[in-house]
Amino acid sequence: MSRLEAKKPPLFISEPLTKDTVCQSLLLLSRIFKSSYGPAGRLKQLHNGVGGCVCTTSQSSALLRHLSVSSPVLRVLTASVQNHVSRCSDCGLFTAILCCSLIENFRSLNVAPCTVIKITKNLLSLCMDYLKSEACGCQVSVDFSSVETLVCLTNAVLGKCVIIPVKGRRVMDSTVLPGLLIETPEIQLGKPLAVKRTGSNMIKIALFCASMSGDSFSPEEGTIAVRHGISLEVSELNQLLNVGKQLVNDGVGLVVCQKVIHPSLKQYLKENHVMAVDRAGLSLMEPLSRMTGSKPIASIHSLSPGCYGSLKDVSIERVASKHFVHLIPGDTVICSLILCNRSETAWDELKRVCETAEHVLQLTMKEPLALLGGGCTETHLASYIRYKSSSLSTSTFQDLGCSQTQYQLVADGFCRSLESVARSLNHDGGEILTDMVYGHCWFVPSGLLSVSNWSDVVSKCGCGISGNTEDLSWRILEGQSCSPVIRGCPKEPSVKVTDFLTLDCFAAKCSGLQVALETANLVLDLSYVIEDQN
Amino acid sequence: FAALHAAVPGLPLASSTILPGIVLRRDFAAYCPAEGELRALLVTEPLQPALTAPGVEFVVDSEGQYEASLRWITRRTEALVKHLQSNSVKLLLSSTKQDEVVIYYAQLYGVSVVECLLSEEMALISEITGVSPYAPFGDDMYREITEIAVASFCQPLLLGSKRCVHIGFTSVCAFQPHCLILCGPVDGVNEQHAAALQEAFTMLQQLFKTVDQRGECKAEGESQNKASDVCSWDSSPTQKQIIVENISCNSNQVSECQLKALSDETETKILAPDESGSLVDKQKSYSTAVLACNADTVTACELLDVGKGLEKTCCNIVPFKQEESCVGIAQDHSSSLIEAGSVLPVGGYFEILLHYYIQYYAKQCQQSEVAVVSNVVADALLSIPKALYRTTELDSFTKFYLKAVNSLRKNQPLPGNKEGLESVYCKYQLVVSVLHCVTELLSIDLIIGIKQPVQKIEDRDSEDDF
Repeated sequence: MSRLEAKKPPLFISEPLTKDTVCQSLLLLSRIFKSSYGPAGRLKQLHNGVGGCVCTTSQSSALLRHLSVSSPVLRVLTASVQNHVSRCSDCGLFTAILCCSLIENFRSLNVAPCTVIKITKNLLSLCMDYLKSEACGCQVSVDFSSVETLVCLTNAVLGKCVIIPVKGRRVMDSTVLPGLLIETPEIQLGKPLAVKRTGSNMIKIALFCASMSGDSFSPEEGTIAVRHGISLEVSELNQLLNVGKQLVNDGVGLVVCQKVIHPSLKQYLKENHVMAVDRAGLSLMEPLSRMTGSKPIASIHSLSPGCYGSLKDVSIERVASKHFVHLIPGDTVICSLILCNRSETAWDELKRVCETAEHVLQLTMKEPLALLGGGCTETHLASYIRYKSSSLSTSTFQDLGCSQTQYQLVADGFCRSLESVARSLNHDGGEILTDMVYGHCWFVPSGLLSVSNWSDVVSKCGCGISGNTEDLSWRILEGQSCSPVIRGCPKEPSVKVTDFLTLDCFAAKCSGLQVALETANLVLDLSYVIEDQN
Repeated sequence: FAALHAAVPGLPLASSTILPGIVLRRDFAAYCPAEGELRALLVTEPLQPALTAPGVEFVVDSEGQYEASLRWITRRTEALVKHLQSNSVKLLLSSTKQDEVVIYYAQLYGVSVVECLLSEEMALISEITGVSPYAPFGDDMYREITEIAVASFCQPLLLGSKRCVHIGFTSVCAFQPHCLILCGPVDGVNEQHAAALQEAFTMLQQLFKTVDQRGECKAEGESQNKASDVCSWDSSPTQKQIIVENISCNSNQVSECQLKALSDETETKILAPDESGSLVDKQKSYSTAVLACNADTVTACELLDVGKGLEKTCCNIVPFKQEESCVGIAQDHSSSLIEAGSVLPVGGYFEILLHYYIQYYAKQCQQSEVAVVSNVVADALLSIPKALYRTTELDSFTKFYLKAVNSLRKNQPLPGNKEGLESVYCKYQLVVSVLHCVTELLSIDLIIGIKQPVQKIEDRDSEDDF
């Protein structure tokens, strides 16, 4: 029922970041993101009180999709992170946490927003130059010939992956199968498969993207007048059977149709030992044609021998309660990923993770670089910025139009935000340290009271690259600004302890850093919010 | 402009670029990679012949006839695509959706297809290449295809998470198409940037307009005289003998001091016959009215406040244009007052200059009402630079004002900044429009609120009038 309401005047809020409600919402959002971050991140359950499905997740894409944010200021933030995730799929939580802490830190500084924005732009250019340079201490080049680096990046497999949903089984039942799977009803089960093969023991496959159900031609405009005694359907069926005859003559062993195959045609093909699979769907057409080398036939009148492809084998697979026709090609470049999970929401999460992993691999193929994970890139970058900002010349300050103190304050805020991202990886208590030489991030388990020598306690840094703790000195990562200790430029660890590193996607992380900073600048620059109430 | 830019949310701002050619925001229906230059065709109708058409009845006499008709359609489509291939056409740009059979044959014979182009995109491509769409089924299908456009490259492009088509055309006209890719964290930022850029292009178009010396009406022509002084400031600034007292008050009271100083001077110069006393009082009330509004208030409000006091004198001055009827100060112009491409540095220089010269004119003016109104306008102009300097240090506006006025007084060129330029013609149009608007507002004496929206009344036949 709709009501007529008097038009309320728009709501006008000035200086939104100074309002308590916005600050509290920002803190809450920040806590949600921080507590979901990382491999030890806790799950969140999104629950609608009036029914509907429940979503349990720790991924930014799912969280942001279901969360409804009322404050317009924060909606800018969530929209920006969602756009980033749709582009890069990874580092969504990283962007969100960094953005929130940047806003919190810069808001409390006593520097005008326009100056902050100018300084942060300068800092961002410093960061990006460093990250993209050859001498970057946290960059790892990815060598596609060794699988270890790729496995470090994600846990998916190279090649084109088709994801098939199966619910109700254990997660460990997820498997990878070469080739493609097409879902079919149970009818074909039980009978041994006798499929016609060619001379070289391959199966010829014909792929149809047109409808073979006999109702192909229904003109949109104009009319067709049919004389009494003639049936268009019979005519179409005859055409279809002619097609069937030609397929049999050409030695085709398997016919796959995107749409429906007429039952009479199916019967005829079965009698002639040709397997027919229909309702394959549009999404399988391209992978099928690439895998088998067949060209999808668009009309039943245009059959040519050059359109057929070849397969190595066909079998029937049964997973949980679903039946699939399994097409195995000669070269196993294309494979299918069967994902199983007990509950729908867990399965959704698994599917999203696999899709993200695939996207990360694609991005890495374009730019074969990776960044150290586990919080080490963030702390390394923070110590680099601290070092750089203390050694800038006065001409830089004049160009920017700010004083050195202002620059130091903003740079300190920026570094603290980076470090807070690294700190939020730790969910189990304990301390987080950073070393003074490499700038990496080290976790100390809780329960150890005042230890005199940190190097007795730490074993491996967050990314796993360095384990040598003898000559390093430490500092506890805290939230407050520390005294600017002038130390040298953070170095790259020369000795690699293990080959198993924690790595992050380079493109996604760089893009996330830039988007976080730009969104923070945008939010800090907001001086008025005008909201239409109805 | 809409066809020449694409917005990509989710990428950082620094990823914005300009790409040569045109970006079509849809994917290929069929893509066959081709190197180098391609020949392309534009089509506006489906390439597959239809069985029937609206208003046409297709009569089936026998099943064989029906089958044969369908087969004929398919073969004809194939022949058409083959014909395209034999003319080495590698790209088909269609404004309608093509049938699957067409796509299939196109893929088979190596022709890339893009469907569902917008009419604006088709028009743009036609204009750039000078080619009109190809009609396949004329009298003779196998004739030579003459409407072929040449594309220098054609490739898919990944924008954000969508695949688009990127085509480069060799243009026959002077316009070389480039596409602007705007990236930003959120959609709103992209829309703002796109709108700002579109306005920047409009401004550039306006930049090259000129204003001639003697326009249509007297008022128009004379208002340009002032503007001309603005143009000629760096060539030969005219002599000014205004005494400006050295003002050493703080920034909040600068305008007050200045106004008081100037009003003191103008008081002595006003030779208003009968209203001298009351006019002087009104003058003071104008100053205070101006000060009552802070720099954020719109100029019109200031003038409105002032205008209420000026009611009586205003009636004689309708419209405000009359205040522009000045005799003009020493001029050494060419035939056009604002030459094409005149620019000034940004940062309030236009306003300061106009303010200065209006005040000078006001002092020399014989009619007191005109002088008063001119002063109001001059002071209102200062609100722009005040707003500009508001975000920087506290007294930067004062410094800027003093520096500028001192330089003008000594005939020295103004201290310029290297940050940017603005178009004089656009500013001139702005000032004229604002004055028009204010004139209209001040001429309104009653605002009537009505419940229904205003409807247009059409002319009816006179017979209904009875």
